[in-house]
Amino acid sequence: MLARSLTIWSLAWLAVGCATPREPDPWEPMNRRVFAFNEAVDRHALEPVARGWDFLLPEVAQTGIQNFFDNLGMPVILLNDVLQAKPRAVGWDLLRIFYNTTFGLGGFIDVATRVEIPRNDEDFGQTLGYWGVPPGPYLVVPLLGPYTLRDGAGGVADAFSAPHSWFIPIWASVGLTSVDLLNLRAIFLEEIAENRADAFDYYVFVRNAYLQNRRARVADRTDSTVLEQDEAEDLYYFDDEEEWEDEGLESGDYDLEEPGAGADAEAQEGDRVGSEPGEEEVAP
Amino acid sequence: MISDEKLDRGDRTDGRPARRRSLTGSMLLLVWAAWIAGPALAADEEEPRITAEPRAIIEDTAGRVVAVLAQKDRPAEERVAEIEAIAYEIFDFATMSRLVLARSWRKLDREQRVEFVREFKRHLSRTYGTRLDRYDQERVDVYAAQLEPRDDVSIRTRIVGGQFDGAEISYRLRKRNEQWRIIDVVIEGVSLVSNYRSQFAEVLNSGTIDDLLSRLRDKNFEVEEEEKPSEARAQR
Repeated sequence: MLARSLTIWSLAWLAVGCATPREPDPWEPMNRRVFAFNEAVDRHALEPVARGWDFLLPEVAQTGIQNFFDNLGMPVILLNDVLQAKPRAVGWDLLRIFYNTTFGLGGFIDVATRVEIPRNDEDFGQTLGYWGVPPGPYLVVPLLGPYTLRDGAGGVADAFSAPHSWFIPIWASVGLTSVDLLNLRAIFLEEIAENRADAFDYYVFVRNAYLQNRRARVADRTDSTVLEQDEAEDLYYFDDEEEWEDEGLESGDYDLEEPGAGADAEAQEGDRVGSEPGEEEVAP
Repeated sequence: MISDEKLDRGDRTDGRPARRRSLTGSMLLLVWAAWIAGPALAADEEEPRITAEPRAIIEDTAGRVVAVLAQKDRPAEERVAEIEAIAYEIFDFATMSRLVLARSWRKLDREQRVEFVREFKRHLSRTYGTRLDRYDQERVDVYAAQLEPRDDVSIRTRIVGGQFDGAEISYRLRKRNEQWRIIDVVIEGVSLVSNYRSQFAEVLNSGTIDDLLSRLRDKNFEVEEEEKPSEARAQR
């Protein structure tokens, strides 16, 4: 198994290292077509089935199933803790597996979280990233969704390194993964529907969110943006600070006459009008 | 600026759980857990003065939002409207608008800017309000504050309980006109400003600023239609 992952590793180095472009999505035309295909499959098959699933199974059952699959996936996380040389994470994850498999009745109850054992999230893609392999081009895989070249290769390694898959036939593995995905899809029915409806370009929405999230996970900093210095400058600061002051725009200019908000706007407006003339009187 | 690094280090309390009493399994596990949790206990230094105010704002707001969400006997529209009103106070929509439009902001005339901010504000408040209203069992833990370059402050929070247990949300605040307000929300490492910026760039790539404005207007209109079907019907 180790030999296999090392092979994947070196392949990933070669493929991704050479192919990482400045533009994160050089294959956009192809990706958009695959994305549209995936969306159609989701709309016509996965989402309707997930609605049925959601209708039949109460929330506790869905959560239990999700917990079970989370626990089933823990060995892969543990392996990647080791590969990233994170002894602390190894400790927590061993504890987590122990608690959830025993007291949590095979993983269905997330006892570990209740006793405040932190959750780790690792996979081969993150391990590659941790040791410096760049993500490479963005890649939308048919039926599986967004990846990067690096994380797609990592995903293949993840699938092979899940211990349960060594003992059961391939169709059973596929079946289990399908149930996992269907259950997750059911849990996120509303969020996905809203994201679709709110997005201005859903393809770009997903791409941006995926790439940012993966970057944060590799850095183990999902509580912040992970940005290079120049990227942070570009994202959060203006080229010309003074221009802002000249515009004289303030919140009062944009406020809408809506219940609740209207009153606040008026109060703010009132404060300003009240204070400014006062200052002018003092000046002469 | 001298003490940036110090502030940063001292203030980023890890939030790692330090609770040990429930770990009654075996002695070995307990010792291991103690070893793992140890450093979290040590990192409890004084909070820098600069981050205290924005941190208090986020804590206060989280409390208010949770209180509104808990009022299950009130109609959903009322709760959403109240959360929207809170959003109006704590977000700096003018700065956010300028950040999401990036270089394109310069191409807008004053009227377009005002309209953009107004529509973007409405869009964000609605999505914020309707999304939040679905969650009711959660608690929000404000676990750290960090000083960012040029005196921005990031407040780190974690959702406890419910479907998104453990999800990390960070708020970036900036002081403008003597007021701390949110200029970005980072959910699981995904910056809202960055995400909207990339989408708007795509729209502006193939269209004009007027196209973007009309898309925004249409979206806000759709949402209103959905939320107030009776009113919309009466108007026709």
